[in-house]
Amino acid sequence: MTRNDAISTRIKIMCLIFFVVLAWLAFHLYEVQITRHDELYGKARDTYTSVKTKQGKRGEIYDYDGNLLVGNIPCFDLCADPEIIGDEENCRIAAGIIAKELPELKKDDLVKRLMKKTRNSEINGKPVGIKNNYAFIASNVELKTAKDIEDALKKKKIKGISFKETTKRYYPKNELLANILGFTNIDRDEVIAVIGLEKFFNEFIKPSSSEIHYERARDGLPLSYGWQNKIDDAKDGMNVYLTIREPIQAILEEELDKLMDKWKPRAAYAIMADPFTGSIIAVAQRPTFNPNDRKSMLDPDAWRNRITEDIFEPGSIMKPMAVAGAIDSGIVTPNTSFDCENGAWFYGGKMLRDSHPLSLLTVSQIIQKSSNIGTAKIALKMGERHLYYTLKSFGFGDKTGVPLKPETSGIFRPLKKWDTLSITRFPIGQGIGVSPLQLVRAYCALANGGYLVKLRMIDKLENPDTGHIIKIPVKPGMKIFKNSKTHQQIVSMMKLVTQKGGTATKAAIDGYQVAGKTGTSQKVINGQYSHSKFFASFAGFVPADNPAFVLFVTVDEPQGAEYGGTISAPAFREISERTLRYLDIKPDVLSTVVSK
Amino acid sequence: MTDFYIKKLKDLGHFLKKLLNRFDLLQIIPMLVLSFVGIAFIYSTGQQVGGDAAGLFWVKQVVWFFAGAVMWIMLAFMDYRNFKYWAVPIYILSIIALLAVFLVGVKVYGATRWLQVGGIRLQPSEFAKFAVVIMLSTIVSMRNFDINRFWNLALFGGVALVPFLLILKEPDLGSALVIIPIVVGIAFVSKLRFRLMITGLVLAMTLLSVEIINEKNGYYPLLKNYQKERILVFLDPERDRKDRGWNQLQSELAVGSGGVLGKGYMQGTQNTLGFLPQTVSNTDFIFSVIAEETGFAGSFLIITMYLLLIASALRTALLARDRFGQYIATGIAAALFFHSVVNIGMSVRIMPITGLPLPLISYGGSFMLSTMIYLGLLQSVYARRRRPFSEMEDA
Repeated sequence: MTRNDAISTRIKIMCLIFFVVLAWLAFHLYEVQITRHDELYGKARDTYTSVKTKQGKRGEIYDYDGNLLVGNIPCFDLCADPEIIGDEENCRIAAGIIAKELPELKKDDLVKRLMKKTRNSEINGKPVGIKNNYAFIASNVELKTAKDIEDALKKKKIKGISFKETTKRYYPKNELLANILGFTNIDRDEVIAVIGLEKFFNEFIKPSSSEIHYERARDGLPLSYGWQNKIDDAKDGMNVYLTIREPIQAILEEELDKLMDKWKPRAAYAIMADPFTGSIIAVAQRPTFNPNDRKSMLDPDAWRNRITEDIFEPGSIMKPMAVAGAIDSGIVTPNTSFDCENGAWFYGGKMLRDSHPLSLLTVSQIIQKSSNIGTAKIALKMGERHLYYTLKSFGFGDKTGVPLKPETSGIFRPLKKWDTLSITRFPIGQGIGVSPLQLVRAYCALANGGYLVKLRMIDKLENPDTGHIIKIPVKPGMKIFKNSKTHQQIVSMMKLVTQKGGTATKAAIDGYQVAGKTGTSQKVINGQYSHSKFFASFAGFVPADNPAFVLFVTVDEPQGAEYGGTISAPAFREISERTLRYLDIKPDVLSTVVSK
Repeated sequence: MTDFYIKKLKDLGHFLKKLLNRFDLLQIIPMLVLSFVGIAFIYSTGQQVGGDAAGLFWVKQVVWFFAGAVMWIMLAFMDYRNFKYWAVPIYILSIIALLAVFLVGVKVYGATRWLQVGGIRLQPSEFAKFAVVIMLSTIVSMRNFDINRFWNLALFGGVALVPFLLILKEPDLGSALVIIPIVVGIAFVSKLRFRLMITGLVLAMTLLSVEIINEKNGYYPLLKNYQKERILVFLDPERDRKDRGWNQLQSELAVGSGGVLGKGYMQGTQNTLGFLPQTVSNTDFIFSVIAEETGFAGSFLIITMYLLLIASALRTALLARDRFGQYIATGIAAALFFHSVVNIGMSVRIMPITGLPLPLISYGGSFMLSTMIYLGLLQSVYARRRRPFSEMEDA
C-alpha cells in the first residue's frame, strides 16, 4: 500500500513523534483536570468568591430624656494606590492638596508614602519587590474635608486616592460627662473601648459584624445569579439611656468650672443623685478632657474616673452617719449633751482638737458646729461594734453598684483591726477612705429615710433594630434605721448646719430648707496630716424633708481657703438653686422669704 | 425498465462510492467536529461578552467556515501539482505582502500584523506560511535537489528565513515560530542526514543560549520587552500574577476546574465571570473554556480530533503520488501539530504564551481560511494519491 522507502520511514517516525507528544499533552491534561482538579478548582473558587464584611452601628448613648451624648458620625478613611497615582509630579500635587486640608499631615511625608511604588516581600525565601497598591493616608476625615479633597483631586485629574466611608465615634457635648462616658480607640479596623461606660457596656453597645460570601465577576460586582451566603447578622449595638439629665449635668459642670477658676484646686468632683431611686442625675470631675480632641487626653489623670477609683478621707462629712446610728439605737437623743472640752481633748494617747473651742453642746449642736470631740464622745458611748455596723450599714467598705470599672470599695478596716483611736477617728472621717460615690450613697440613705439604695446610672437599654427596651430596675434599698423617728431627727440636725450658727450658712438657699454637712479633711502627705492641703467638701440634700436630690461637692487642695463651708457650700448652693429652678421644685419655707 | 433504473442506481452508487473513496474521511470528520466545536464555543463566550461578540462573532465564524469550505472544495478538485508552477509567484507575493504590512499595515493591540483590503482585514503572515509550505516543497522535490548539499540546504533555509524574519519583525513571534516546524518537518522527511540534524540541533541550541545571554545582558535585544516578559512570566507566573501572568494562571485554573465532565456548556465560571479575559476567551484561550465546560472528556476529544487530523495529513503524505505532495502534506501536518500543541500547552502552562490560535476552533477569519486551504490542499493530494483504494478494489 505504501512505498517502503526512506521518506516513508521518516514520515512514520514523524507520525510517531507527533503521537507521543499529543499523548503526553493528553496525559498532562489528565493531570491538570482530574488529578489536580480539587486544588485548582479550589483556587478558582477563591478568586471568584469574595467576602464582604458588614458592620452594624455602635450603640449610641443618651441621657434620661433622650439627648444624644455619644453618637456616630459618618466620615472617610483615605488611602492611596501609589501605582495609580503615577509620577512624582502627580504625587506632589496630591500630597499638596491633602496636606492643605489636613494640616496635621506633612506634605513631604505624604509624598514619600505615595512614591513608595514597591514593597519588599519574599517568595520562596527570595526577597522580591512587589507592586505597592496601598498607602494609608488618614482616617476619620470629616465629610466636608473629604469632599473638598476629592473635588480638588478631580480638578487636577489625579486618580488613585480612595475614600472609604466609615463612622467615627462622636461626642456632641464635648467635655460634658466625658469621664463617665469614656472613649474608644481604633486599632486597625477594630474599635477598642478604653474606659468609662463605653467600656463597661461594650458588650451591649458594640455592633456585630457579618461576613457575606458571594460569587463575583472579575470587576468585583456580585453576581445576581451567583451563590451567596446570605446570613446577614450584622446588628447595631444597643443604645444606652442614662439616668443623667443633660441640662442638670450642664449646670453642675458649669458651676464646677467656676469653682475651679476661683480656688484653683488640684481636682474637684460633684455628684448629684436622686436619693429615692439612687439614680445619678449629674456627675462631674475636674480636670477632665474632650473626647473629640485627642490632644486633651494625653494625661491619663484627666480621663481616670476619679469618682469611682479614688478614695479620700471624708472628714466631718461622716459625722451624720455615726450620729444617726447613735440616735437610732436610742443611746443619745438630739438633746443629749456632751462636754466638748474647749477644743482639745486627750484620749487614747493622742490629742483630738476642734477647729473652734466649744464647751457643752447637744448632739444637734455637735452636728451643727461639727465638733470632733463631741462626735468622738458619742461614738465612745455607742461602742466599737455598734459604730462599725452603723457605718457598714451606710455602705462604707462596699461597692456602690455603678456601672463603672474599676471601682474602689474604699478603706474601712474590719472590726478586729481597730485600735484604741479608731472609735474616736472613724466617726469624724479620719482613718477611713471612701469614694465620692460611697459618700453620695450614704447621704441618699440619710435623705430618703434610711434606705441604702443601689446607685444607678443606666435607665434602660434599647435595641435599635427591634425597639425592644430593657429597663434597669430600681432596687429597693436595705433599711438602715430601726426607729421611725431617727430620720426626721437627723435631718433636723443637718438643717441646722446651713442655718445661722452652722458651718455651712453659705449653702443655704432662699425658700428651701437645706440639710447637709460640711467636711474639711487634712490630706495625708507622707504619713503626716498636712496643715496646708485639704479636702473641702459639702454634702447635702434639698428640700430637706422631701429631697429632690442629694448633692455632694468636694474640692481637692483648694488654694486660699480650706473649709468645706467656705469653698464647697457656695458651689452647692449655686448648683442646687439652678437645679431646683430647672426641676420646678416648690419652695418649702415661704416664711423665711416673708420674714426677710 | 426496472432493470434500467437498477443499473442507473448501481452506477450512481458506484460513482458515489468512488467519489467517497477519494474523500479523506479521516480528515473531514475531525475538520467538521472541530469547526462545529469552535462555532459553539465562540457563541458561548460571546454571550458573556455581549455586544458584537454575542450576536456577530459566531455568525462571522460560520461565514468564515463556509468561505473556508468553498476554498477547501476548490482546492480539493484542483490538482495540487499546479502549485509547483505557482510556488515562486506565490512566495514573492507573500514577501511583498509582508513588506506591505510595514508600510500600510493596521495596528491592533500594539502589533502591526494586518492588511486592510476593502472591508476585510487580512494577516499576510498566514499567507506567508502557506507560501513557505509550497515553496519549500517545490524546492525539495526538484529533481537535482539534495538537501544534504550545503548550497541546497542554504537555499532551503534562506527561503524560510526571509518570511520568518519579516514576521518576527511585525512583531508576531508566534506566527514566525510556526515556520520552524514546517522547515524542520520537510527537512526531516526529505532525508536530511541525522549527522546534519544533530549539527543543526547543536547549532540551534548554541544560538539559543547565545540569544539568552544576549537578552539577559541586553546587548542586541531581538525580543521586544513584552515578549521577554511573556517568557519570564511563563517560567514564573507569580512574577506578575495580576497582569501578564494573569491569563495563563486563570486559564490553568479554568482547565483544572473542569474535572472529568466539566461544568456544562456555558457554565464555566472562569470564563463567564470574566476572570479569563474576554479578549482572549474566544481566541487564544478558547481551549481553556472548552476544557472547563466539558472537562477532561471534552479536552480528550479535542486532542483526539487533532491527532486524527494530523494522522490523516501524514497518511496523505505516505500515500501521495509524488514527492511534492508528500512534502506539502508533511509541512501542513507539522504546522497543524505545532499550532494545536502550543495552543493547548499554553492553556495548561506547559508552553509560554505565544498568541497562536487553535486551528479551526479559535475565532478569526484569516486563520480559519488558511487552515481550510491547508486541508483542501491535503484533500487534493489525497484524492490524487498514487493508488486510490477504489482502484485497488477495481483491480
